[in-house]
Amino acid sequence: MTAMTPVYYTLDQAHARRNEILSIVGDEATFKERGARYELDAQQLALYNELTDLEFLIGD
Amino acid sequence: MTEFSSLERQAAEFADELTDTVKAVSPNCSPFVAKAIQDGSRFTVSQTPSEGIPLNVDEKPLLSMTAGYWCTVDRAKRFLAVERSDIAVYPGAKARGEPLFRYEYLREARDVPAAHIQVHGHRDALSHVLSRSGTSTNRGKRRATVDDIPRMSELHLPVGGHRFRPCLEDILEMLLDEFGIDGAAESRATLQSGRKRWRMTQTASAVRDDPDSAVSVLKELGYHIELADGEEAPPTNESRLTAR
Repeated sequence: MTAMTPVYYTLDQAHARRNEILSIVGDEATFKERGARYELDAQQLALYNELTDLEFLIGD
Repeated sequence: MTEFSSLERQAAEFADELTDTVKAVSPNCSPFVAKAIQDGSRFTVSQTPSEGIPLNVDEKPLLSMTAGYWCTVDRAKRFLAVERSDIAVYPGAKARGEPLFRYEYLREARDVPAAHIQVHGHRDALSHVLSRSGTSTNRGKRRATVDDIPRMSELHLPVGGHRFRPCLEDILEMLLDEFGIDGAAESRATLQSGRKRWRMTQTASAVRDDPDSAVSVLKELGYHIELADGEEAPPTNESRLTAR
């Protein structure tokens, strides 16, 4: 099977998506604390995981 | 091939391998996708969309699993290396709240073992899913026929199989770190020495299990290796390589 091509973001796109997530979830510190304490519902957890991925890629 | 395009290929292949693995158990789950910033050297490999991998009993979701890998380039600047990985198992149809347990790997671990299991599950949450085990396996069938309340101690969590299992020194050092046991500072050198001895012994055993891989890596490192005249190349030990 041919490997799927990775998905690439520009740095601007990655930052824009990060900001979009943060605008959805509210206070960043509170959201990350709740994520670290495993207090998120399914939708929030998906956003938390995506946020974690973006911040790793951006290098924040 | 540039370093980046080689990493890109490795990340894409890794994502495909993970997809093949999970689809063998959960055919309808979303695939794994590698993601990166253009011209960057970091990749994430995770399920997209990130909804969890449903694990069904009698076609109804009993558990949900998430798996994510955060990768960069290794020290030789040739291979994709996992900086961190997290595989978590949740009760119910969707990954939410607290998992039952998770396997984590941290390449730059400081105060914890690089590879470790963390058990989160409250007894009730675990008992609930254990009591709903399917009967398609021996252990599931046995559990389904017993009247006792299932216990956490019934779960057997894998820790590396025959060759890569933890050693006594791993467990002792974990206890020192987690419980502040007396003599922690004085004993670390002895524990590290014992761990090294164990891993070297196990590496030798792993080489005997898979001599082809060992020869391939040693040649990459600059060794010249030939089989002695009249000798046959030893076979791989399939049973050890595939055993849990």
